[in-house]
Amino acid sequence: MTLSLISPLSWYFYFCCFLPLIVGIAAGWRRGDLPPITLYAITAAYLIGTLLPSYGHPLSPLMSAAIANLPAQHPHIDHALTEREFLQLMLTWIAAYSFATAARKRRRHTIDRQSSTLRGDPRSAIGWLTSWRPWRISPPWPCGSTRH
Amino acid sequence: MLRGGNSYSVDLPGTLSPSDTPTWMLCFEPLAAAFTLHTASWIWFWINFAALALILWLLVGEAGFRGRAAIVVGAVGLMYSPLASNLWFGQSEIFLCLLLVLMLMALRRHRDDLAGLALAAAALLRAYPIGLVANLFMVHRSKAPAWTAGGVILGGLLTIWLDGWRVITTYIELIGLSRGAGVIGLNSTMRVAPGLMKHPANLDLAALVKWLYDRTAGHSVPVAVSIAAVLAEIRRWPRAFTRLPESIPTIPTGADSDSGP
Repeated sequence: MTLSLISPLSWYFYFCCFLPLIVGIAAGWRRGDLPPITLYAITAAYLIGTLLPSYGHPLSPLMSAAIANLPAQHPHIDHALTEREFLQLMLTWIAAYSFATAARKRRRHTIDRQSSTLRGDPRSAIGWLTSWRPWRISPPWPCGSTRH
Repeated sequence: MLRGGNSYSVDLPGTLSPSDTPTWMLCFEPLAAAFTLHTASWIWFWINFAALALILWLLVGEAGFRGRAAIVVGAVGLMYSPLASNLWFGQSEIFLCLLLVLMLMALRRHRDDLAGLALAAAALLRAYPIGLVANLFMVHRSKAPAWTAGGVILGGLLTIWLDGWRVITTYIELIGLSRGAGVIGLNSTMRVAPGLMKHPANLDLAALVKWLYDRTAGHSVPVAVSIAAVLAEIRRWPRAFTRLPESIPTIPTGADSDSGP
């Protein structure tokens, strides 16, 4: 995604560099840890590129013929269709952003869970350090059970 | 260029001046010298297609797809619409993608040297991927940029040796580096028609933001600004990725459960 920011010119075929992102999202979907918005956004972007193809695609002549046969009183459809590449880019960006932020949350959640597990385990050094309260004197037996 | 010519000085009617790097032009030299235009274009097509097949093979294998799933994902990748445009126009982004895939794979295997060299090759061929150096810093791979710098210097020297210094100076003048404008300045870094940068089909987001900000999309964002923008994120990202959250819930233990009614 960075390449689409740092290149002075970015034509439609520059989207080739999104290929690793698409395969990565497919792998995430297979693992079952893909946010729905990522799946919807990348699917929509892919479908836009396939169903409304640009130059060079095998279906492009059909698209060009359809646009050429539009009634003259509907030029707005032509103008809307020409923005399909920009829409595809935006959807791909949304997919990449949600994919990356979900991975970050998942990683933080894993760290969080590991830390809390370590803190809760009195046998671990971290658990002993974090559960030690020198100002609290507790009996060696579980306090809750003696009060019932 | 191998015969002493200077491709940047050639003014062909109806075509824009080349703005590709001297290394890229040098790589095309054998195709241009040894074959007719028709044959060379087909050879380039199959080189691109081979690179695409290699990309898909590497990506599918790296993502862990096997058997039927690998075929499906490979087919989905192969039918990705921009690839057809790239092949149709004879562009080079598939080749750039291959270098990036190699870089990503090397980073996953903690081979900073190979990652840096892959990025150096991409930078020598297309120039602007040098901005990805900031990403290497961002993911704490500080050795990789050193390998990138070494690769760029080595490849640059090789290009100078094969192309000649005159071609390099022409290119430096072309991109505005000699005027201090290309890398750190605010002038256009490429001798393309300014209209191309604000062309509706130009999907460069930086140009769009620049146009929204100051209506000067005809001037590209300098590479140094792009790198600085990514580097600015470094101050926030490591903390977000590596530091523990402030409030970590703890599992109650027997020692902590002494607060009865």
